Amino acid sequence: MVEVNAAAQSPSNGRSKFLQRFIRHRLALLGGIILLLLFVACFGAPVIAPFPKNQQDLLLGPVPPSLEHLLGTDDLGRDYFTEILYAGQVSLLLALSVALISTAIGVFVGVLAGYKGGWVDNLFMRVTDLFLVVPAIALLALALQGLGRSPLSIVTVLSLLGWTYIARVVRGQVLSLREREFIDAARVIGAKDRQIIWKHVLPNLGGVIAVNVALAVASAIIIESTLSFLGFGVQPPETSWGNMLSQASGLIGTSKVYLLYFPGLFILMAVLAVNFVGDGLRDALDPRSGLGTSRGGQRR
Amino acid sequence: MTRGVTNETLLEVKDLSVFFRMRDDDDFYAIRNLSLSIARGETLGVVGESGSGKSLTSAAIMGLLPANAEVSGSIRFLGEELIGATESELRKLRGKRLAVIAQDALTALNPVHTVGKQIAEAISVHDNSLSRAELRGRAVELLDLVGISHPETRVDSYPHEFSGGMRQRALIAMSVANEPDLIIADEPTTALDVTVQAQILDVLERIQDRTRSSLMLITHDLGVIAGFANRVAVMYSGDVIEEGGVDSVFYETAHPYTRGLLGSLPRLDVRNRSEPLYRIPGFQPSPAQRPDGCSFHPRCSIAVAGRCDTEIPIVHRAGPEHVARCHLVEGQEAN
Repeated sequence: MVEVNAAAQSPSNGRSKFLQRFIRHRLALLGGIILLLLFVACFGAPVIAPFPKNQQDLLLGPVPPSLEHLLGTDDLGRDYFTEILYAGQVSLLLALSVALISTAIGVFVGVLAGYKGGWVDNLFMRVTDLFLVVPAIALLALALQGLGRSPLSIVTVLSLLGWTYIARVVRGQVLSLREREFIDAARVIGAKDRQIIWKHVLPNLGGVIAVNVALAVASAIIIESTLSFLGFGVQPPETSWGNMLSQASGLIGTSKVYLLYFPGLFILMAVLAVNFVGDGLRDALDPRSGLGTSRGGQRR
Repeated sequence: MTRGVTNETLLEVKDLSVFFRMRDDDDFYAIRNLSLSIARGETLGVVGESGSGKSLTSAAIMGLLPANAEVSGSIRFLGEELIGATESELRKLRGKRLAVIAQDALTALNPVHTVGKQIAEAISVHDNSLSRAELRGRAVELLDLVGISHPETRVDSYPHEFSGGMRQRALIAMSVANEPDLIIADEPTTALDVTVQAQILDVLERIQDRTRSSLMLITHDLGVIAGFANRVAVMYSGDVIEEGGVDSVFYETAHPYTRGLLGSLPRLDVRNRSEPLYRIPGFQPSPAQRPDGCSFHPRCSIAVAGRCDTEIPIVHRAGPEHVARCHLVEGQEAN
C-alpha cells in the first residue's frame, strides 16, 4: 500500500523531499525556530540587548524582573537578560564546535575501524577504550589546568574527549552496513573503497550522525556547566550559561533564587531544541520515512 | 537457440579450486578442480543444490572471494588471467566487462539513493567524463531498456518505492550499463513470483540480443535453464559433474546425479499422481567431509563398490560437446 501511494506522488528531487519531510516534523520545525531565535538573540546581542555588556549599577543592586530589567539584575546590578544573551554566545559556539568536531573525529575513527576491520579496528577500538576508562572530569580538569581555561582550550579538550561514544556507535553501524548487499553490489560495479565509503556507507549513517550531534551539543553545554561549577570552565569576566548557573547556585534558599532558573531555562531550551532538530534530521535523512506522518511510517 | 553464439572463448575456468583455511584444522575445499568455459554470446546455465559452490564460483570469477579463501587454478577472461591480478586491475573489469546481477534485489540497492543515481554511479565509476545530465539521460534509457514504464519520472524514485520486480529490473539496468562482455546472473529470479520471473528472463534475453553479451545464469530452476540456456553445467559438491548442450544433457543425461535431479521434478503429464515424487536419497556432503572417491557415490544407485568409493572419477566424454565426471560413463577420456 505504502509503495503504491509513494509511487503515485510525482517524484520530485531529493533535496525538496528532504525539506518537506523535515517541515512535516512539527517538533523539529519548532526546535529549528527556537534555535534560530537563540542564535539571532545571542549573536545580535549588541543590538538586541537592552543594556551594554557588563554594565554595572552598584547602587541599584539586585532587583526582581520588571519591565525595565526583564529578568532582573544580579548582585552587581547588571541586567540579567543582557548577561544571558552574551553568555549564550560562548555557550552556543562552544557546544556546537565541540559537537561538530567530536562527531567528525568519531565518525572518521568509527568508519575506518568498522570498514577496514582487522588490526585497524583493533587499534582504533583499543584507543577508544582507553579514552573511555579514563575518568573524564578529572582528565578535563587536569588538561584545562595545563592549557588555560579559554573557550578555545575548552573546545579542544572537550572535543578530544568526546568522540569515543560516536566512534563506537558508528563502528557498530558500519560493521552491519558492510555486510549489506548493496555494498557488495557497489564493489561488483567496480567502485573503490573510498567511493563506497562516501557514497554508500556515510549516507546511511546520516540519521545516527544527526542524532549524535544533537546529543553532543546537549552534553557539551552540560559538561561546560559542570566544569564552570567546579571552577574549571569559562572564567570571568567571560561568561557562559554554565558559569552563570554556578554563580547563581549560591542563591538557593534565598529570595533571589530566580537568578538560578533563567540560565537553566536557556540551557534547557537550547538542549531541547537541538534534540528536536536532530530527531527531525534523522527522519528527514531517511527516504523511507513516510510523508504522511511526522514520525516516519514504514521501516524495513 | 544458438543465435549469436560464436566460437570465441570469452571465459575459461580451468582446475579452479577454492580452499578455506579454518581454525581447528577444519580446512576444506569448497570448490575442487572446477573447469568450465563460456563462448561469446552464449548462455551457460549453472545448476546445482544449495551449497554446491555456484555462487562461490561467480565470486571467484569476480575476484570477490572472502578474505580467508585461497584460490588456485586459472580463470582466463578475454585472454587475461584473473587469478593473481591486482585489485585495481580487477576493479577496472568489474562492472565494465564483467557484470553481476545480484541475487537479492530487495537488499542490493542502497536505500538512501534514488535508483537513477545508483545506475548513474555504475557508469561514472568507470567513466567520469559524463555530466550529471548525461548520466541521468543514460539512466532513463537503461530503465526504459529493462522495461520500466515512465522511466523519466521513475529515475528519481527511491528503491522502496519500487516493487520487487522493478528493483530486479533496476539491478539489471545497473549491471548492463556499461555493456559488459559477460553478465553473471546469480539466481536473478528466485526472489520473484513466477509471472515476474518470466518478464525478467525476457528482459535478459532482449539485452543479450542487443549487447551480444554472454550470460552465466546461476539458478536451481531446471525449467529456466531448459528454456533459456545454450549449454548447462551441473554442479555437485564444489565441482562441475556434467556439462554440455542443454538438449544433450537433458535428453541424453550421462551422470546419475543429473538424472536424479531431472527425475525429481514434478510433472503435470504423469498419470499416476499418487506416486510420491522421486528424491535422491541422502544429502550433499559437507565440503569438509567429502567421501573418498566420487563425492556422489553414497547417494548413487548405480555406484560400483571398490571403484566409485575409492577413485575420484576423471572427466569422460559423453557425446559431442558433452562431458561428465563419472566412472560409469562409457566413452573416451576428455582432454
